[in-house]
Amino acid sequence: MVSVTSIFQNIVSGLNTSALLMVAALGLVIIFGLMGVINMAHGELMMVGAYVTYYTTYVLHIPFLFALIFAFLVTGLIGSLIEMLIIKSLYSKPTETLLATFAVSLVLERVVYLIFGADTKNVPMPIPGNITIAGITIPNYNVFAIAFGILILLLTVFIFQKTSFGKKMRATTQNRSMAECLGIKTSRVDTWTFAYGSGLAGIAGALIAPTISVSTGMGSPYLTESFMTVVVGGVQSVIGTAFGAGIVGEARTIIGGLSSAVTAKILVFLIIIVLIRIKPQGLFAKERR
Amino acid sequence: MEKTLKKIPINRWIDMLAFVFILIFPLLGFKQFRVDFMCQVVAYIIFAISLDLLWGYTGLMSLGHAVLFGMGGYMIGICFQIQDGAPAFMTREGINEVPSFFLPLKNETVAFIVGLLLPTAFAVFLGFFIFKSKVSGVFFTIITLALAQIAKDFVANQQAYTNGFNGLQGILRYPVSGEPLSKIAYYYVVAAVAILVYVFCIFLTRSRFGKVAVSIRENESRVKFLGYNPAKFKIVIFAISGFLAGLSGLMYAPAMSSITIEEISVTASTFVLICIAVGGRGNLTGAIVGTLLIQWAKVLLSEQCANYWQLILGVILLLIIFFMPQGIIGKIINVQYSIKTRKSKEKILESEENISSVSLNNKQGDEEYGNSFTGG
Amino acid sequence: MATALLEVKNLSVEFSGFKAINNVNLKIEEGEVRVLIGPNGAGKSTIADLITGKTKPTAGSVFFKGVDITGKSPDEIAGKYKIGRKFQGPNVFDNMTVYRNIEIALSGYTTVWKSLFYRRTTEIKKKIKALLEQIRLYEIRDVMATELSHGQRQWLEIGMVIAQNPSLIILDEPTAGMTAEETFKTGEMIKELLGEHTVIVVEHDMDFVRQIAQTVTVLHQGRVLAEGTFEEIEKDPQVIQVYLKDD
Repeated sequence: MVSVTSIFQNIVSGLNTSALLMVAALGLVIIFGLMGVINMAHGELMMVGAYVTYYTTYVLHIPFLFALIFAFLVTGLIGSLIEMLIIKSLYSKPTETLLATFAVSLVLERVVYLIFGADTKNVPMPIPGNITIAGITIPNYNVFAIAFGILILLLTVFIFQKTSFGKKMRATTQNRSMAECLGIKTSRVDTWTFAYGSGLAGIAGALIAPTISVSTGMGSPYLTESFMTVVVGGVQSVIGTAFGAGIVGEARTIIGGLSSAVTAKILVFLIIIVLIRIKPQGLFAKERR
Repeated sequence: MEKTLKKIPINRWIDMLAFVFILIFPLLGFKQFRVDFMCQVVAYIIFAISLDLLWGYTGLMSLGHAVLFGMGGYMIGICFQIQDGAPAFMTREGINEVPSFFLPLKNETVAFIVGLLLPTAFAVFLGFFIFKSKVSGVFFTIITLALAQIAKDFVANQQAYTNGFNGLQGILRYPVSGEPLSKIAYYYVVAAVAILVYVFCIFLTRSRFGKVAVSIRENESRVKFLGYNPAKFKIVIFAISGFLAGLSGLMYAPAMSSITIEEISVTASTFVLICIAVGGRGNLTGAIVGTLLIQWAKVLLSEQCANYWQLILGVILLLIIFFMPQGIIGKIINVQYSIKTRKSKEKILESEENISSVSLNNKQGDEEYGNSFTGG
Repeated sequence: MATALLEVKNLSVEFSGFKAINNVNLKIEEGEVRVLIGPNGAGKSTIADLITGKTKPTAGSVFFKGVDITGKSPDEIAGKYKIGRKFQGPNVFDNMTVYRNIEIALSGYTTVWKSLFYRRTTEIKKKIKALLEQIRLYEIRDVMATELSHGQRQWLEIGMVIAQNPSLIILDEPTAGMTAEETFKTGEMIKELLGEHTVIVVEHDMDFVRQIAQTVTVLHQGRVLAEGTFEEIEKDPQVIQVYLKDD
């Protein structure tokens, strides 16, 4: 019989999973949900973020917080290059975009491999230790990760709702030609949006890095999970994605705690398939005509 | 006779050339391991054709097609492994007798049929949930991606039943009970199956059913208003595609002598996607030529530069997307079509002016030109 | 007293509070050619959407041959109930030839089973040939639909709708984007092709309406404003104020 404590333990661990997933999925919902671009290189961008973190903290001995910023900048830069060189020319050709971003993922993976080699890297834990409350143990780092994740969420919502860039971005998403008529340089908005989404992927990778072994192939499972999260939450909704991350992350952790990680993934997958059938626009999507 | 020959589109000639090449390959004096590899490639061609039906013709991009391929391969793999009771990977985990649900697979006919029907049934199951829902095509892609990820994890995890990461080794060529076919005999068996599959798909894609599938890709809502139910068609296509994918796995595993989780991974699924993208979608020829090119390129490149052939592959893919998005065969078809279009443009002008006597020398003829498209 | 072929009863549809169609009633008799006119946004295409199943109404019902078809799916309405629709802006299959476009629209072969075993019999060939000649596209039957001019694509789509052998045809702005000469030819085409069919035409072009109309229904802001022959509504003061005087 599973104890109540261990269930709560799972729920709390799940919060960490959800927070990390949320940051990753936020990057994806911006690019996929709002720009309509299927970015197959999303997982590899996270991987780059993880490697940047490794290099910054382990090789250059610079504090972890800076690694987060560098990860954001580097992947943001790579993202803007991808957008300008590739995505822009393939606008309105979704199949080609998907194949092209997949090609990019192959290239990114190999380039990182050729630079860093095949062996897995370990990123030193920046905040070691645990705290224990009411019989439930939480690693200190998890608390940080959750807090940081919420910070990123709030920052993203703020940017989209309150800044002029956010307004331009929403206008471009909703009605491109109209936005252009109003003088918005939609081309530049696209680049910045893609860069921001990529940067978030980098941060997600950086946050995950201390908790896993960093390897060039680490990105792939995160790609899938991010997509699942976005699908559950509602493809165009930032808040929905946050909730989606919560649901998927918790479901995975709790079910994983009760049985196995693989069973958890299978069950979550089945739930999502059924969900698509019942509510195809996701749980939190806005009503559209 | 002259007129009929002229009517055959250029890519069918390429098909015939490719098959002739495949048939004479073992006689060309290459080393045995090259011929072995070619046998795998021919089996893989069946796999590529199955995906072309689903993606090239109907526009449903699957990132998990290798899972259906693997279902076929694993069924025959298990069949071989349990011929002499529980294999080592089971006994190591404490399972000393073959589990009851595996026992039927001891019979190779049963294993073969299960290898065909399991992916078919799975495709129907999945299709029922996805195609009957109102979600757009990209969700199918995402779901198949998730499927690929999960399947790989699942098989890897079930060490006791699937030998996890090591996969199933020691798969010999058919028949299981009795003397296995010689390598050369098996080569021609696989080639024959490939040709049969090809002929079947020609029939399918030229039929009204095939035209509907392409129309669903081009303009799904219009098709609905003509009275067609796209969901039903998609489910049937997916089922046929799954069946053929399973068949290709059943042919491939004995040629490779093994089947591992690498063959069902996302990488494997995207590899076949690349073959078709480079070769050309929606005309069957692209699947054949693309597979031959990319499979051989991979093997030869990885012998030369083991560490960065994937990089080269990625770059090739990018180049194709930018300069030849319809693939190599698609480009050839388009070029031939635009040469012939000059004549028909004159006809249109004449028709618009309502001139009644128009002499038609060089009729257009074959609709297959329409299957090479740019983007989508 | 036979029931009307199509009966629209108190039909309304609302999108986020905006009533696009407001309590519309229509009765179309068999063999009629009814034209729906009205300013942009009046709801003409929306009514077509509601009848053919593309959109579901929020109130009211649609009866076809006495059967309630409200809210049924588009493929059922097209296949089982045989209501054919030509869309605004030519909506044909670019990947196929003119001939194949007509062929794929042919009624009776729309299930998976039938489409697998369909064969182009002599009888079918005759049917298609006759249709192609009537829409004046027989000569270029083997040309890809992409190569056609705009007007020819419109004709092709009309031909496709006829091929469906429908009991009711809805033509949504069939002359949009056509030259005056093409418009006139289309009018004649419709008059000769559709002798025995029932047609609803949604239109804008007044000359065209005058050429083909028997009864005209005028829509304005989602409601029926007036109904009658062309001469009658031409003189109706409300219609003149709202629509005909617009310049």
